[in-house]
Amino acid sequence: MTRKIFFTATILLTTYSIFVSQFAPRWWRASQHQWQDNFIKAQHFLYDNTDSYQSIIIGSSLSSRLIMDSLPKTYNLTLGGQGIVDGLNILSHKSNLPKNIFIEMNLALRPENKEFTTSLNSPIMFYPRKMIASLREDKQPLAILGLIQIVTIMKLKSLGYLNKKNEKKNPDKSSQTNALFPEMLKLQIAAYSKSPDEEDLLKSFNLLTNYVKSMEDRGANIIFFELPVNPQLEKLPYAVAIRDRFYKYFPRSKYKYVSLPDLLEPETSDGIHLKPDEALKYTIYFKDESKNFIR
Amino acid sequence: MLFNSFIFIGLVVATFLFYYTPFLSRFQVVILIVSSLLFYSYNEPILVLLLLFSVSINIVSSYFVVYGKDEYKKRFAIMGVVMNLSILLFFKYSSLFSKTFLSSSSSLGEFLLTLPLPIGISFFTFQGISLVVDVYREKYFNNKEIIPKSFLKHSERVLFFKGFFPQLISGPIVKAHDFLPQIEAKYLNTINWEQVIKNLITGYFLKMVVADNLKDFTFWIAFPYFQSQSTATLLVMLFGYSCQIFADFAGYSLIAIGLAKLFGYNFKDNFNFPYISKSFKEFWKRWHISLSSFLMEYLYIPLGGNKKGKVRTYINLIIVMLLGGLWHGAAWSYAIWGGFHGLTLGLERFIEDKIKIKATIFFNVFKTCFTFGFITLAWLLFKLPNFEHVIEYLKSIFLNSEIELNLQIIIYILLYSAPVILYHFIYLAKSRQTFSQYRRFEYLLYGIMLFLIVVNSGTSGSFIYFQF
Repeated sequence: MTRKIFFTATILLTTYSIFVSQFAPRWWRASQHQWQDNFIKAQHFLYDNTDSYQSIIIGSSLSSRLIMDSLPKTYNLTLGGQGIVDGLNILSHKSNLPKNIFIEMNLALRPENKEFTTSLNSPIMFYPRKMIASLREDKQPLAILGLIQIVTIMKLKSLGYLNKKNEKKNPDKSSQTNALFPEMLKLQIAAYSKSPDEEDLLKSFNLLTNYVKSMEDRGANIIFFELPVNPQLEKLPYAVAIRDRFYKYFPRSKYKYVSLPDLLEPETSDGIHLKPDEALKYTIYFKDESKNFIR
Repeated sequence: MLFNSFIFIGLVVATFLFYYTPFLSRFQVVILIVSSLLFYSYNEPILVLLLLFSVSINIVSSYFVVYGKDEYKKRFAIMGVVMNLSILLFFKYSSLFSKTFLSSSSSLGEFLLTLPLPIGISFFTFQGISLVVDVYREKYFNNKEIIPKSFLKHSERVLFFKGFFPQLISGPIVKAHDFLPQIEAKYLNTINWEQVIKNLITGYFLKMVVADNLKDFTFWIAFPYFQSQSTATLLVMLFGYSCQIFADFAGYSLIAIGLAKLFGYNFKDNFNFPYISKSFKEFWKRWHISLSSFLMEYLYIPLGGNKKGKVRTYINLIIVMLLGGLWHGAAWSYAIWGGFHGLTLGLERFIEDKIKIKATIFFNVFKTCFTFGFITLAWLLFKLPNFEHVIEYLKSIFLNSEIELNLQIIIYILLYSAPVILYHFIYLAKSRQTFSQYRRFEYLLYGIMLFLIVVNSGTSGSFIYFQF
């Protein structure tokens, strides 16, 4: 029985691995949620040939809203729910760095997510995943099965086979998000009203300084940028303290900063994340501004 | 240290090699003690001291219950139980006491809030109580055969009993009378490999493929996110959480049982397909069996059980479930959860006493669905410890019927919950004659589970029951 179990599993794994590497269509990939999305971005950056990217963006879910189609040759290594330290940690494991590294300022105090970095860099899984594509996050068969079901239902819906009655009474998605907005903004105002802990500031900026220095030593061009948030948050103690600390550790006379846009005062979806139209406006601004800084 | 981490697998492999090395066979118990202490101290080494203190109470009290003067035996037993409970109360419930009765600005209140919650304290405390009570009652074994005269040898056995790593931090709660008689030399050729592999594969599958994937979708039960979800999505998320909590805890228990078997020890089943239960009483005989049997044996029966009249039986049930609820966590929502189960048990017993209904298939199916529905609803108190948020969630179920479905959440929850449903169905099918012809293909099922563990595990997360 035991032998049969292991034999079955081995046959399945071998067959699936051959299928993924040789026969799987291009769409044979799925991401179920934000955390997995982060893994997929990181694994793609580390395992595949990504040396052709000229620039890379390191940041949190705030920068994930940037419209990447408008930023050619730029890799988006923004990690939802995580901070820049994780992104820089991934970069430190890459032999060839992109020429320009954009670093988001807003959530610089988010600590390293050890579970994420340990799991990603675990020597036991790093090389098997690099060599066998079927072991990577985006090739999970059940996740792909789920995606196929979702796409099928969406197609049936668009063809009018499903849920016609419901569609009439459904309010649009933005109104659902709007209903949550005051509550979310309230939570963000409460969080932004407190000055960050001095010890956290020191720890985070010392770590950031080390990473920046090591990237510079490897010839990278560092550019900092701050995503616009709801105007009610922009001047609160948390945002001000982080901004000031950046200017102290990385003086504006020596480092490049994409400054906050003057005219864009975004409402955002929850206080800190740009809505799609706001993200598009900011991406255009970001592209124009960064032209002057990139190599 | 998580059961699904590489460091843990390394520890198990190293322990296994030393354990079955012939010239080290005299030190088998010591090897397991060392591994267990390494396992426990991995995250917070300082808390090992508390574990050792708790063990020392049990060593002393149980030893003197057996070998002390007859007139002091009861005192030692009481001292053992009270001290075990005091440690639990101090470390686990001080924060609740502080939040409820003290001002957060008072120095005592602040101090109590900063106390660490030692992982597994609820589990190893209950095991300690079972040791003291078992030797005092001398109902299950002859004390002098089980408790050695040598104090050192006794200390080693008690430390092993409480600290054995498969059950140390999340159970099953192993009782002294089940475990102590098993301590003897173990041999490699007596391992039942088929059982070990089956337990480990099913356990890791339930934990890593089912629970770890579900957790990323039931995450949206959190406040205030649930407020923007539709009625159907909210109901599916609740269903998903019910499957997740089962897969998480039953998975953990199966891994623990499989690991114990690897070292020659047998733990009783902790879950017996609980979601097929036709009543709340049956549910508690199938869910977290080691806790419910502990509460039955060491609390319900000493309170009088059902021997002191109907009203007293109902009261006993509610008291036991209230305390059982609080055992799960230091928050009033857990007490409400326990109280809810106590009330349903009492009410069910009352109805059964008054009305006799003939059991038909349809009625049984209805009862199963009804029981599952109520139990699932009650899990909301686990997921949302703030009672106001529970009410908000229930309100949203009624008010959000106009909101669009979240297809991604619904599809993935149904997909990852399917193995839990299948797991229960296979159990039901096994009792039928026609199933026996498919039994020889059982290895295919385990092979598929093993394949999915390798390619489809979710992001690793702590076991839900670690917090208890």
